[in-house]
Amino acid sequence: MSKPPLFKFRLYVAGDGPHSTQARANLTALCRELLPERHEIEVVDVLRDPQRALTDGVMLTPLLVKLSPAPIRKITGSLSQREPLLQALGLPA
Amino acid sequence: MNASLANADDFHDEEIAASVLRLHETQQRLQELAGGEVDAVLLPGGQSFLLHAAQEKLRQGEAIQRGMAEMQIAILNALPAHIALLDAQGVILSVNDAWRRFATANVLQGPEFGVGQNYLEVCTRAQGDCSEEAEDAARGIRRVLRGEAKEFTLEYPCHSPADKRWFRLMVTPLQEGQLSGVVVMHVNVSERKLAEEALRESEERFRGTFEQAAVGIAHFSTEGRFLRVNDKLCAIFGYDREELLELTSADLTVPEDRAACEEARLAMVAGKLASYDTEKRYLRKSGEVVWTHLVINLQRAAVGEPRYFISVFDDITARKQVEEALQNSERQQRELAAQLEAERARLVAAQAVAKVGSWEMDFATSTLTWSEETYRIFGTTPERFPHTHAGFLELVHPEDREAVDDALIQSLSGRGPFAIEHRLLSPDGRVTFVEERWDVLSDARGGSKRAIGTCQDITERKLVEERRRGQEEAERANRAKSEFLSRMSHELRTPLHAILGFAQLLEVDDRNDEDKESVAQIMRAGGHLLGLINEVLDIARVESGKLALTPEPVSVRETLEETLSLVKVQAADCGVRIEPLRGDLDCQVLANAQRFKQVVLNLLSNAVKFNQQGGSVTVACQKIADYLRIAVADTGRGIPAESMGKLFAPFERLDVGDAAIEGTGLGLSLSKHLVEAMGGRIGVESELGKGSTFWIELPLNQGTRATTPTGLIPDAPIPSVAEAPRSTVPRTLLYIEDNLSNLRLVERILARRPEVTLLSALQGRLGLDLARGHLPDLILLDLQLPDLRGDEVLRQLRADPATADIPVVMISADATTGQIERLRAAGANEYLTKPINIRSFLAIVDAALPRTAAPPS
Repeated sequence: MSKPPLFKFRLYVAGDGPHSTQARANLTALCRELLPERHEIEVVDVLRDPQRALTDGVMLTPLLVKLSPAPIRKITGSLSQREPLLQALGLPA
Repeated sequence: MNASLANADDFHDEEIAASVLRLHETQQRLQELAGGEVDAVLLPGGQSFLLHAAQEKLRQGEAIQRGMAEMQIAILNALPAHIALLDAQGVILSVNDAWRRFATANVLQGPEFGVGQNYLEVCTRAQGDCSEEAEDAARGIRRVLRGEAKEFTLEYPCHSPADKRWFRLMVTPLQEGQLSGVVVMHVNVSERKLAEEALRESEERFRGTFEQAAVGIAHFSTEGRFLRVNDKLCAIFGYDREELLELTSADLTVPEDRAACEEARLAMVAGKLASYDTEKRYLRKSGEVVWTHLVINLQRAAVGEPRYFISVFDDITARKQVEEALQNSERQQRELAAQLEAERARLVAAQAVAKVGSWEMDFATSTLTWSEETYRIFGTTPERFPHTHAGFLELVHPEDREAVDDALIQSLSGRGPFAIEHRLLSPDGRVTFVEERWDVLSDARGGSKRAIGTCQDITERKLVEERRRGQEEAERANRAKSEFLSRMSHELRTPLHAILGFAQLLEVDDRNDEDKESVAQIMRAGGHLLGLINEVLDIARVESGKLALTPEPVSVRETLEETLSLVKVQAADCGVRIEPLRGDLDCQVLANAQRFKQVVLNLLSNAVKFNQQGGSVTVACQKIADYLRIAVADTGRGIPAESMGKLFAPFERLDVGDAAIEGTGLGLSLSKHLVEAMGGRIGVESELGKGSTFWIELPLNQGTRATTPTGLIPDAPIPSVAEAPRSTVPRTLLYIEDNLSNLRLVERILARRPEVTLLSALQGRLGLDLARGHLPDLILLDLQLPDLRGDEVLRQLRADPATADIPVVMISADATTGQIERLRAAGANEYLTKPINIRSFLAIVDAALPRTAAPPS
């Protein structure tokens, strides 16, 4: 069996905005639970680094981008709804 | 803006209100479009819009962050450590309050407290004592800045003139992974350093104390193993340090002490014993015993767990030896004292038993020392007695004082006798006889002298001597009395014999009644006088011990019947009835027959005499063990108790108020003497008004010896004068007698035998000549002759063949049974007592002379 894939995420947040804070917490918890030792999370604060957001074409925060494994997926919101999130990320329920 | 706002007034109001409304609607719409979970919207043109809720939240977060930063700064400022923030080049970016305070007082002076200066350069520039440490610090900081080390620490002294100070420099990177700078922190560690310093010094001191101590010190494990020892201890025990550390305390302990030490160890471990302080023996390596004064304390950890023992040993062997020597000497002294005390007690006891006191006179101090017994003898006490010679003389009998003083003074000049008997007179008038003996001693220089002496209580001896003297005197007087009585009796008896003899002649001859009555009176009075004299003589003999009564078996029944017959007439005269004999009569007693009869007769005669008209006398015999008791009971008046004691004393006639009763007053006294001389006893029981019972007890004859007949001359039947056969053959009779009146009497008696020719001799030798010359048919021989004794004459008669066969009749006033036996053995044919009873005399003469004529020789 092949080595389980490494999940790379990029989360765009707007400082400590309420939804952004929640999304960050939800993502960290989910990764620790389901993807221990095989995930990377990059957090980009669009308020501090607006240029990056512009470059990456981010329109709404919070926004989670699954960079790998393919396909790339983008999810907006506080990531509070577990079922749709797992579906969107291609993870078993 | 301000101008526009100032001029805004009403015409913009509607537009503003509409814009705000639109803004709210837009925001609402954006929320809806973004699904309600969006904080910000970003446009590709660079515009962004932060939604209201996010804006609020952000504002709050910034405020919190500002507050936290302020708090952090406050914390940093509150820290005692000096903290500075350096950039990558070592330039000081920021410092805390502690740094600022320190900088004010120290090197980094200036308005900014070093901010903006390069700290590395500051360190490199540093001069003086701390320059080396400063360079080390600069090197360390650089390494951290370059990422070669994650941190750097350095402790360095930084003493001010007032204080000793140490600091610890800590350098840590500002942000891990990014070489943006370092935090430099100086912490004051002076207190810790000083404590460490103090600890080190303390340990050094301890080590010095431990090693240099004049006593042995050891640390033991709780099991007793040596952990640490000092040199002195090695010296005490004689082991090397290495050897000692292999051993336990028990190894060095004397075996018999081990149990006690083990107990103490366990007690200390258990916490029952705080410390142990004792004197203990140990065995050195050489085997010698070393005494130590040992103090052990148990060291415990903070939580109380026992860690190790600390023991201090002081070598006290020398002291112990001195102590032991002292104890030995003390014990010896005690024993000596005890011995002395025992000796003294023995001496006191011995003195008390012997009644010998001792004394010592010191002439130099004029002090007199007495022993306990001496005080007792002198009847005084150490408290009362003044201990001087004068005080001593005070206690001496006044009549003896001069003699005692003289004797003592004389002895001082070395002249004897160094002994004196004298009396003491006690205040209560008691006289004590003492015998003093002493010796005078000179001291080495021959100077002052002292006397040592003894003083014996001889009162008892003196009293015994006095008593014996008294007794001897009494005995002498008694003997003299007895002798006098004896002589007098003899002198009295001789004329009495004549009186009675001639009275008998008168009685035999036919007389008229008046004469007969006169003769009878003479005979009675003479007989009484003779009895009196005989009894006096007997008593004198018994008292002088001259009366030897050889015991022989005597028939009781015969003796009693015979004596009873003798008093029958007297009893009848007095109207007294004699009762038949009673009890154990058919036996024999060991007694002298004649004296036995005499005693019984005396008792019977008394019983009759002291009876009353119509009374009775009873004689009863009873065996009591080896004795026969013969009791003679009367029915007289009885004897008062107070008179009992006098009953058996000579010449004591009880005052019974009846002077008419005849008696010598000697009967009972003589009876007592006679019974006791025969080995028996005599006694009396009496009841006033009812009568008395006199009894004698004589030893029973247990053997089978033949009875001696009671008759004095048993083989001599006494025929009456009338019945005597008459012989007509001429006979010659020789009478050797010095008493003329006796000669005359015999002459007169023989006048009744005309055929008998009487020859007489007044002396023994003349008698012998006559006997040889005439060869008489019969010789009468008196025992007491002036020239020769009668028995000597008898011996010579029998020795001469010519006279050997002539019958000899001995005549004597008093001859004992033994004498009679001897005379018979010596050849005497018969024996006659004076005064001569005419009938007995004639009977013997007739018997001795042949009845029929014998052819003349």
